[in-house]
Amino acid sequence: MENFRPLALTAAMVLLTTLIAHALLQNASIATVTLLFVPCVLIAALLWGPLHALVAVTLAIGAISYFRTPPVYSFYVDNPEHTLDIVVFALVATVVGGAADWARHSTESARMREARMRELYDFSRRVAMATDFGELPAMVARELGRLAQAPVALYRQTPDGPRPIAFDGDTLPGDEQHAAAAWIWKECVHLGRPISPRESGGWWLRAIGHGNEPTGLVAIHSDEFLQDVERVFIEAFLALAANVLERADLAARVDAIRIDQRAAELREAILSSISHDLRTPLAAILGSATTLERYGDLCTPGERVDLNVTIREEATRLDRLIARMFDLTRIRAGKLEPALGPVDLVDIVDVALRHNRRTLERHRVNVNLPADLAMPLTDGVLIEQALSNVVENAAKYAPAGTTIEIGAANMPGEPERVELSVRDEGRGLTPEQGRRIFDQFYRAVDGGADPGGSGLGLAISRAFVEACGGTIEATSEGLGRGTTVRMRLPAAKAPALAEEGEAA
Amino acid sequence: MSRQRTILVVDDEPQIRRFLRTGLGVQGFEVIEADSGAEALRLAPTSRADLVVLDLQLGDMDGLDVLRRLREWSWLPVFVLSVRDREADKVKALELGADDYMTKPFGAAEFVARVNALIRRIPEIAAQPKFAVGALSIDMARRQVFLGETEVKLSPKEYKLLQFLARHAGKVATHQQMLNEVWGPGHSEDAHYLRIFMRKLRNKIETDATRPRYIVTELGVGYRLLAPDQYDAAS
Repeated sequence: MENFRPLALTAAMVLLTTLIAHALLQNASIATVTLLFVPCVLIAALLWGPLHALVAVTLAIGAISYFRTPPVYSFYVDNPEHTLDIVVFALVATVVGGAADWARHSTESARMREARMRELYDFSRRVAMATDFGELPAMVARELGRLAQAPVALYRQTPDGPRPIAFDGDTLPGDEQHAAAAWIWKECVHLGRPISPRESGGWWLRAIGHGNEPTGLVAIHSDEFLQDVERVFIEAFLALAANVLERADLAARVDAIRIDQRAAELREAILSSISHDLRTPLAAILGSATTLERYGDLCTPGERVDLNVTIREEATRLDRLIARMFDLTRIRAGKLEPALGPVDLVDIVDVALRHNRRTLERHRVNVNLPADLAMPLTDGVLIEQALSNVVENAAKYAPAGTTIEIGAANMPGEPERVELSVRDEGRGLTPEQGRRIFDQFYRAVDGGADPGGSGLGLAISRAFVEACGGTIEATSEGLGRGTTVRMRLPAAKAPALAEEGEAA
Repeated sequence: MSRQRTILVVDDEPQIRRFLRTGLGVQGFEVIEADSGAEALRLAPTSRADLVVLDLQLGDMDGLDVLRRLREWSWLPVFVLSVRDREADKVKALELGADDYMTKPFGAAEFVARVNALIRRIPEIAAQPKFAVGALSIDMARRQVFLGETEVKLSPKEYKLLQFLARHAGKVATHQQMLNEVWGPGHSEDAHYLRIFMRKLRNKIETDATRPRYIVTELGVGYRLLAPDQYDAAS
């Protein structure tokens, strides 16, 4: 019924004008009366378009010829002058109606174009601000879905061929569309030319991109072919989307190259650092041993003991270094498979402190573990090593006689976590150092003041903690005000355990 | 000591055997060496050894297989040596009946002390109805536990756990062994129970439960209730 309302209103408008003309313009000429109907045509054209303007013209001619031209009450017009008036009216009204409709149309499409331009602009601004390139496909799909008012999917090339990687709407493309997408991709000729929906099971498929190969492919699930106006904007949007995706690809490639370069630099650094770090203890061992061998008889007992102690200490250092390198190799080879289980942090802390007994001789150690501490679901061996490295680091850089505090706390929330912290009273860190301290070969102090670290310990700590699904961070209230390292580990779900052995 | 104790050292590295031989020799042990698993299995029944020191990485066969074959007929104490970071191997060795393990590299003094303790301890503890270390004493006949003069009240499960550790005092009990013993074979996966009861038990018998002195942790492997000589050496 909605469609008849404008029609009825048009008719009513013409009828009203006829009545007014009948009442007020009894003696006016036909030409004057026809002028009275021009506004009707104009209004109909402006409000409802050309069809209704035409209806208005037709009805007006009917009304004039029936009521005003002699013979009255007949559609017959016998005076040629009146016929001319009516013809002129018809022409004028049609032109005016057409012009009005055109004006209406162009205003409307100008408004729509403006809205669309604003949308495109908004979108381009949003993607320009996106910091995570991985989110871009989802953004493109979301925006396209909104523009097309239909379910959409964005295909990209994967090792298994083109696959949809981002969607909007609740209908997903299936094997038929995947096959069509693969074909378009292979043929490449369809850049810029859509396949009609019939060919792809109700989906409108279109490759996008500027290069020799499509950057992506969009699928729009739309029964009716998109209207021309929408098409223009969607095409414009797709060009923009292709740019966005290409830019993201390019950024990823640049990153990969940068990482490769960095890896090469790192390998260099590792090699030179390792050969230096290995040779130092070896030189001491070899020197002490050959001294004992050649001149042992000439040495005082005290000197002999010193040489022996040197050999033992340096061998221990060498062992620790080799252990670290082994850890590092495991991390790099991706062979780190944590054996996750509920572990008591009491055990981890105790073992780490036993391992570092010698290192910690000149510090006070406070252990403060709450009695109701939850157990992390983690790999005790890896976390102990991570903690050991942190503790060793604290002992190495904090002055003798200061306190090292080891604490822990439950961190309720979703997911529940357990925090293990080591606080020292050492020189502290700048925020920049705090960020970089877990990087490989990063040493917060310059070489001269370095008490023999390899720069690997904390990097290994981070790798181990992260392998167990945890996080590690170092914070400091500033230089000279100590450092706190916090490890946060996922908590194990406590078993439903009644007081005595329902477990049995 | 009435008669000279004999130790069978199984390791395919001659330099390791040399240093073990020297360290044990000066302590008055007689040392028999085997450089392969086959040699070890050949020598073990005839050598009248009191203890076997077994490296897990041998040229001809896996040390764990040597242990398994050995355990088919003998309860001879076995002291396992392994390289670092092979917790799974340690656990397997202990479950196959090894009495102790040590990670290479290690110092001679610690090694000899552990061998001494092992030889002295093994025949004694299992038979004794009472066990004491530091201020902690357990009367297994009466099922009573004392810390100094004060009796410590333990729940049945806690007692069972402590008793099991005491029977194996000085040795590492694996998580698996403890779970099987205390909760039964159906619960060998419930590591969480074990941790919770261990915490409760330590709260009752340790002076500072966060720095345990009697029951020490062997991460990734199990727990060890220290034998008196180990306790004295640690404190």
